[in-house]
Formats: sequence, structure tokens, C-alpha cells
Amino acid sequence: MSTKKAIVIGAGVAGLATAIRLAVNGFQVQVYEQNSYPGGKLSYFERNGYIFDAGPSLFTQPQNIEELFVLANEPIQDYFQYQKVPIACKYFFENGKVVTAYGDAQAFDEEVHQQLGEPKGAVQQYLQEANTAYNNIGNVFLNYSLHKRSTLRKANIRKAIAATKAAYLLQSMHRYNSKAFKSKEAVQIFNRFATYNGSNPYKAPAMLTMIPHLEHNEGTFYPKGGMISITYALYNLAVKKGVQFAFNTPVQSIITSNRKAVGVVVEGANHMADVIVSNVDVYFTYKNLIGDAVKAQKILKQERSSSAFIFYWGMNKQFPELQLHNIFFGKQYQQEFASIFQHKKLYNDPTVYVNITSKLEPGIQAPEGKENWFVMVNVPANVGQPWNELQKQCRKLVIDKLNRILHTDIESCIEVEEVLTPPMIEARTGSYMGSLYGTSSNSKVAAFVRHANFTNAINGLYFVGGSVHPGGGIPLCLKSAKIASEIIADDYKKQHLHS
Amino acid sequence: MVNEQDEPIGLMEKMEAHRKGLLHRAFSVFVFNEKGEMLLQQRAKEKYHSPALWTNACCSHPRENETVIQAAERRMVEELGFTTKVISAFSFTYKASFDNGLIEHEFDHVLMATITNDTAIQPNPHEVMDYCYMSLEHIQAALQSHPEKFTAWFHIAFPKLVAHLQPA
Repeated sequence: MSTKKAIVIGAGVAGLATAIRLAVNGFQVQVYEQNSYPGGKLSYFERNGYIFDAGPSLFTQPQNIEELFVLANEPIQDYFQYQKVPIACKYFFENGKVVTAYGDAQAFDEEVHQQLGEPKGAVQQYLQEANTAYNNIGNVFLNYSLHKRSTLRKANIRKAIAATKAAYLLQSMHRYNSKAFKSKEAVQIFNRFATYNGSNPYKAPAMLTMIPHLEHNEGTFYPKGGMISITYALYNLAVKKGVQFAFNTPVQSIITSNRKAVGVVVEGANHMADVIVSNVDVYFTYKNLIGDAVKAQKILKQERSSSAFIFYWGMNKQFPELQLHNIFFGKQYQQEFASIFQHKKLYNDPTVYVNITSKLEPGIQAPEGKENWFVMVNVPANVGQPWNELQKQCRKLVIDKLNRILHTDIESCIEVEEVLTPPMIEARTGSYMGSLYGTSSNSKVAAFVRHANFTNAINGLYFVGGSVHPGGGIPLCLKSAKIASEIIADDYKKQHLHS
Repeated sequence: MVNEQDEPIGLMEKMEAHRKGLLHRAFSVFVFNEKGEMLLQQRAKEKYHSPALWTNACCSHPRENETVIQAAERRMVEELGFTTKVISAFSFTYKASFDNGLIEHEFDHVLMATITNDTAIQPNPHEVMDYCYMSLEHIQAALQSHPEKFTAWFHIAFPKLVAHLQPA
């Protein structure tokens, strides 16, 4: 009996995690990656002593990574170290209000009571409900394929549905939050969590209100060395488990025969395998790798998530009033989202996110006494907007806003500057339209129409990553790897019994 | 924070741990015999938390220099006196407060093992005062009728394990 072979296309976070799981399950795994580096959107760069995480900046659910090391039976501490962060985020409003969102639910509740006048216990109750939702319906959605009949049996669906409030599916996140809180600011704080998978809280179902469960119930964490350490932990673990990597090696197409994926074409040569996993954006997988323009077009029926402008600024001094994660809210949140998703324009007062990893690793992530600012604004996906002009406008809006709220002159402190735009995101990572999180969650059915981790049309072909079930963001990408590898194990068992 | 013997370390060290935001990585092992019954242990009276309560076969924390699986296999020998291979089942985040003011917040890796009928259990009396095998159904019933006899931990982990074991 020869060893089963697997090919993983793309070394993004989900591709790496899938490669590890397949290797642990006895597959000989080969990964093909178009870039010269692993990690996809989870990459980094350095300028004059400033280290910048290029993409994701928030680390939650470390157990998704811990699990991989236990499965692989390797000591995680040799590859990856991280710590809990006591403050999840600091929220700044134009009206002068400031809310420090402690990771601890009780402290956060007290703060919201003090700063915003919400009744004591309001936040705690909200987070308690998020906890319940997460453990019931969240568990079904995140850990199983919604498209397999076996899910309905395994996952205790009845209990999950019984514990799920109708509001989660029928109301928008904004409506739900408006009922839970009295102050405009508290509603905005909890609406913002929709942006964690590039969605619009005014359209997305209240199901997304379980997202803060991760930050405030489970906690926020910081990886030693910055977010890039996640990529390297996964890459090094994969290598340790015998996964083979080919960088600078784009896959040209997937070879199918009799409705089965049997290999890939790389540099004009065929490479055969028993299992093919695509970590490429699902649109490009169908359009370019499978050559199915019809199916690719169908994928576009689902609304794409937002993209972003990211400014990377090396600041020549420290700002003690800022934390690891900071949000400077726009004044008209609903208009901001309408601008991103309906009008597909840059909004004139966008919310600004500032991440500063040198707060946790001073002198390492930035030169001594200086700060590495990652400054992000949510913008529409690329439909051909004049991005060069918008970049200039956005930069000015950001600087003006930060100056207003922080009563300072930001621009004079910038000594290093780089930028990432939607077309650059698409070019570098193959994320269609520069969408950061694949498809958005802006409809009641989004969860169900998002592409599954397999397709009945082609056997032996599986899908992982932010553009497929369960969705975008690191935690969900890691879950897609888990779901896909479990389906692969099931399928392989069934095959063997029949062959 | 605990040391390798699951004994409490000083208060100052605990404060240090919280300041640094250090993490608790934990594992628990569920052992089954050939009949599919689960091995339960009753914690010794001198344990610093949950003394004399019933729980699953083994729970502890890995040391700095070992994998979770190595730690589990080591603890099984130290607590119950037998060797067995453990496999990874699932993991989850666990947060709870104890009566003595300690707060536990850890990533728990649930592991499973099966032992043969002729495996000799030799419990360490400093850790374990009694043990038995019970079917999953009987455990469910006991959790309902005598909840106070089981550790808080077991109340949380057992249903998760049962859900994990549901046949496809």
C-alpha cells in the first residue's frame, strides 16, 4: 500500500494548517506557493528598524494553534510563545469620550458603566449571551461543514437551535445592539465587531454578536515577535512533520479526470496526488485553476468583504495614551458602511484603527523610544476606483482625525512610511478584489451560500481559507483547515472500504 | 500556577504570573477500558483544590520541556501507576473560579486512551484516594443525582467529550 499523497495549493494560514493536519494523518504533503514566503496575508516587513505586521493584527483563540502542536506531538513552546493582553482595545470618540475595553468582562462592564452610563451588568449580560451563542450555534457553524448530512447528526443541532435566539438570524447586528445598549457609543463599539470578517453590522445577522466572546470571554493575546510568529510557527511545524514546500511556484491548473481531481500542473509538468486542497481564493480556483468560468461567475453572486488602506508609519516618539489596539470612531457609522458596501466609495469620516506592537515589545518591534504604527481604514473592495487619489484623501482624513482626537501633530512624527492598497492586496495574495475576508456576512443566508470545504462536482478536491466556509479571519481560517482535513479523512476511509 | 507535582507555588510567584500574563496550558485524559467504561478517580483529601471529588483519569499541566502528549503519559504513570498511549481528541478554553480565590484560565487539551483488562492500576495515594469504572450512561445519571461529588471541571468536560464521541 503506497503512501497517500496530498497537494496543497497556497501556503496561507489555512494551507499551512491543512498541510500539518494531513501530514499528521499520514499523507505525503507537497505545498506550492506563488510567493517567495509563506503566510499569504499574514506577512511582515521591516524598514529602518521598524517591524510591521503587514496584515492581520489581532490574535485570538490561541487554542486553534495549540491544537495543531498537540496533534503533531511537538512542544509548542519551542516554536511559538504568546501572552494574554489585559486590554483588548481602547476606543476614542470625537465627542471626547474614551472607553478602555478590558479583556476581563467584569472590568469592561464597570468601564462602560462609568464612561457611557450603561447600567451595571449590561455588558456582562451581553457577553454572557455571546458565550452561550458561541458554544451552541457557533460550535455547529465553526467546527462543522454546514453542507454535509453527517453534520446534522454529529453536531447536536437540535440543542444548538433550541439555544439560539430567533433574533440572531432574523435581526441585524445593529438592531440587536441598539436594543441591548442605551448609548450611541456602546452600540457603535459592539457594531464594530462585524468588521472582523469584513461585514456591515447594519446588514449582517445578529449571529455576529458572538464575535466579542472571543476577545472578552476567551481573551486577547499577543504573539512574541508579532503576528508573523504565527506564520513561522505553522511553517516550521509543517516542515518538522515532513511537509515539502515549493516557493515562487504558482500552480497553473488542477487536473481533473472523471469528476476527480488527480493532480496539478506546475511549470508545464504534471504532479499527481490523491487529494488536492486549494488555499487559493475560491473565485480564482474556479476561474484559473479549474477553468470553470460559469461557476466562477456564480461565486460573484455573494457579496465580497471590504478591503483596506493600511498605512505603516514609523513614529519617532511614544504616545503613552495609546494601547496595542486603538480605535478612533467615525461619527456616522451607518453612512460609513453604506459608503463601503453600497456606494463603494471612500467615506469622508472613516473609523481609524491603530495597532502598535512596540507597546508590547518596546525596542524590538521599533527602535528604542519609537513606535511602529499600523494604521488601517476599511474601504470597499476594488471595482476600479481611483485608488491613488483615494489614498491621498484617506491619508489626510486619518491624520486630521488623529490630530483632532489626540491633540497633537501626527505627521511631523512619521519618519518611515509604507502603504498597502486594495489592488496591491489582490496582486500579492490573490484575494479577489482585494477583499480581506473573502465573502462578507451581509445577509441571512451568507453562512449557507459561502462555498463549502469540498464540492460534489469534483471528488478529491477540497477548499480552505478565508474565502470559503466558515469564513475570513485567522480563527475561521484555522477552523476551515480542521473541517477540511476531517472531511478528507472521512472520504479516504470510505474510498478504502470500497477499493 | 502549579509546579510539576500540581502543588501550589507562592503567592508572589502567582502575582508575577498574572503581571506577565502567563498562560496555563493544560491537558486532561479520559481513559476507557475494553468494555467502553470510563475510568474515574477520586482526588486525595490533601489536594489543594477539589479534594475528595470524583473526576476523569488525569488532569495536569505540561512542563516547559515536554509536549502535551509526553506530559499526559508521564502523569498517568505518576498518578495511576500504568503506562498507556494517549491520542488527541479536542481542545477548548476553560475559565473558572475556585472557592479559595484562584482563577483558572487555560487551554485544555482533551486526550483519550484505552487500556486492556489486564492493566494494573496502582494509584498514588498522595494524588488519588479511589478509582472505578463506570459506563457513560451511569456517569450521566450520577452527574444529575449527585453533582456535588464531581469536580467543576468534570461537569464541563464530560458533556463535551460525549458530544465529541457521537457516532458519525
